[in-house]
Amino acid sequence: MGELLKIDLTYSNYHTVFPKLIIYLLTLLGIVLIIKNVVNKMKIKKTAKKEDIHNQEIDKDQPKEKFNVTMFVGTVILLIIYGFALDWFGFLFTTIIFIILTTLLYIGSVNKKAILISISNAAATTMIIWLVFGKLFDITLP
Amino acid sequence: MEFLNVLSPLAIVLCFLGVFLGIILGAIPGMTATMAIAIFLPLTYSLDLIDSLGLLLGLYVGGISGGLIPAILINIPGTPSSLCTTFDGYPMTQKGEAEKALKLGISASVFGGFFSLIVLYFFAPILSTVAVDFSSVEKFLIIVFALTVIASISQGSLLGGIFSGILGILISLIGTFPDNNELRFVPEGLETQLMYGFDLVPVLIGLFAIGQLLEEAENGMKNTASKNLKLDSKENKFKFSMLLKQKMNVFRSAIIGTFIGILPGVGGSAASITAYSQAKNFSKKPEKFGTGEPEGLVASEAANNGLIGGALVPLLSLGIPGDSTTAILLGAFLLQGVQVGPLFIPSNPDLWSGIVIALVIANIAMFVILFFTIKYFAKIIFVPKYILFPIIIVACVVGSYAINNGIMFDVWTLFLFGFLGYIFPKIGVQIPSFLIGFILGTNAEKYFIDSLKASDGDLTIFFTKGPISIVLWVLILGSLLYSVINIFKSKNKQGASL
Repeated sequence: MGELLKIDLTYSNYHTVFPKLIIYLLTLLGIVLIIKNVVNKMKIKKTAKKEDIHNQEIDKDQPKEKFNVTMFVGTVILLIIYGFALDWFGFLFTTIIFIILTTLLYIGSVNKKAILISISNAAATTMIIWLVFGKLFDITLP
Repeated sequence: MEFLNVLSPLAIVLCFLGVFLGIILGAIPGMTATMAIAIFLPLTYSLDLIDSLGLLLGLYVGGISGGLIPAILINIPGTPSSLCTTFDGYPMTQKGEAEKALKLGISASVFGGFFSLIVLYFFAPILSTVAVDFSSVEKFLIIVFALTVIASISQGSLLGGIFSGILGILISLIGTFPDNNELRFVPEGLETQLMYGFDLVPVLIGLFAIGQLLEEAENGMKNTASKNLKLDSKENKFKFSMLLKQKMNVFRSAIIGTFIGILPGVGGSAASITAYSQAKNFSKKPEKFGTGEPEGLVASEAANNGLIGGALVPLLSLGIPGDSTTAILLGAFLLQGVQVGPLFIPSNPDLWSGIVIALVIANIAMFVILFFTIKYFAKIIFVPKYILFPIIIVACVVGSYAINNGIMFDVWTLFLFGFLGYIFPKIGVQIPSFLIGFILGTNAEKYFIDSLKASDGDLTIFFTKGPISIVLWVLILGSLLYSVINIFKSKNKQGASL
């Protein structure tokens, strides 16, 4: 028993002791979770036949939210481009363009009013951040 | 007006200004109290010590307190220590109780602040000697105690929650282990960027802010949620009696916050996490936690302001900074040529009372400024999402970039964890548990290894170290047992109601 409670500790393995323990724990829990899920699914299958009609009714009551592909993919692409562009074109220019584009994307239409909103949002936000953080507080901006 | 003798009018004005600026910086996701103090430290060089302390302590109190605004209103913790405020604060906003939630949080904060001040004033010298007696074994057990919160906040699956927490610990271990400078889990080519692992701030706001952004984008950025929101109706207003009803909770949370603050190196976020889980364990209706229960909100806020006085105890009486914020404050003292340590309080009685009075003023200022302006802040929830979200993204990017003085990798960390924050809920990983693991992981490892070094690898050290560790084990097991019982109770209740 005494041997079990002892951990081999040398200078060169200091950095692996704790991560190993954590990985063991994680794997153990992962296996238990998978088994639990499989068991649960089998249980559901057994009872599913009885509740089929009931389930269908629930589905009708709650139509699934539609996945908005344009907005989701658009956000991801804009974020990634924004990250790279910050390095290439600096904070002011990139941020103004980024806010205009995201605001337009989220409004969902390009008309006079939307463009006006997006440009004023972009200009105001960027200028305030640039002046207050960049100039006044001297924070390093991208 | 005796305090005018110790504190110049300028110091008082600067203290108010510091609180005001601190609140604003604390409220911006990605900007922390630490950063607020770091930004203004160079400005204080030209000031007298007491004036500069007025400003810096104001920033500290304001920065810690401001984090509750976005936590409650838009479900993004403004600072790491307001993480637990989101659990019940945001559901209250969704129920149309935003103003009540904010005012409850502010009142709990000011109480926690005053409580810790009293402790600081009367017990600083005694407590710091006790805290020094806490070896790495006890510190490790305190962190384990804080981790037990994972069991009580798990939504749905307890095992899933624990899995998420341990996953968080694993991710926090990425980078160098400081004792022998060895890298682990670092992919080739990223050695320099991941030298110190992922920074907490971009991880936190990525998981919350960017994750939420992607979720909203998936649903088409509908404005319905905020259109349905109402600010508090007249019948449902905040009253101080609401806080009085929870005096035990406030008291307990303030004690937990102060005490964890006193322990060097355990970290500020652990305070509100522990207070939250204990509030849940002691509560008569634990099943309501996470659905907009004022008790949870009060516990988190009382604890994170209680932390401030606590963290100053080892700083002023021993010269040991417990976290990064007090480390910068230590810099402020050194900048002025003042040595903090065991002799600081006896040899600088004026400065000492000046610090305490500055903290009293900062807490009052925080309360006055927030309490009377909060209804304007609360209007944030009416700003259309297409305007709000682009601003939040830019604020997060600027905050992440600036947190380590201009590292682009921190922005990529923000985006990466933003994406994970979107994926995690879909595959059953619970974000709050994951974050708590991430926050506490590094210190857990450090104190675990330190304990084992002292015992030559003998694990029994955690049980045989002495009376304090026995008490901590009782607390850990009690906390675990209690949350497991609570989970079964609420499951039975659900079963009965179906």
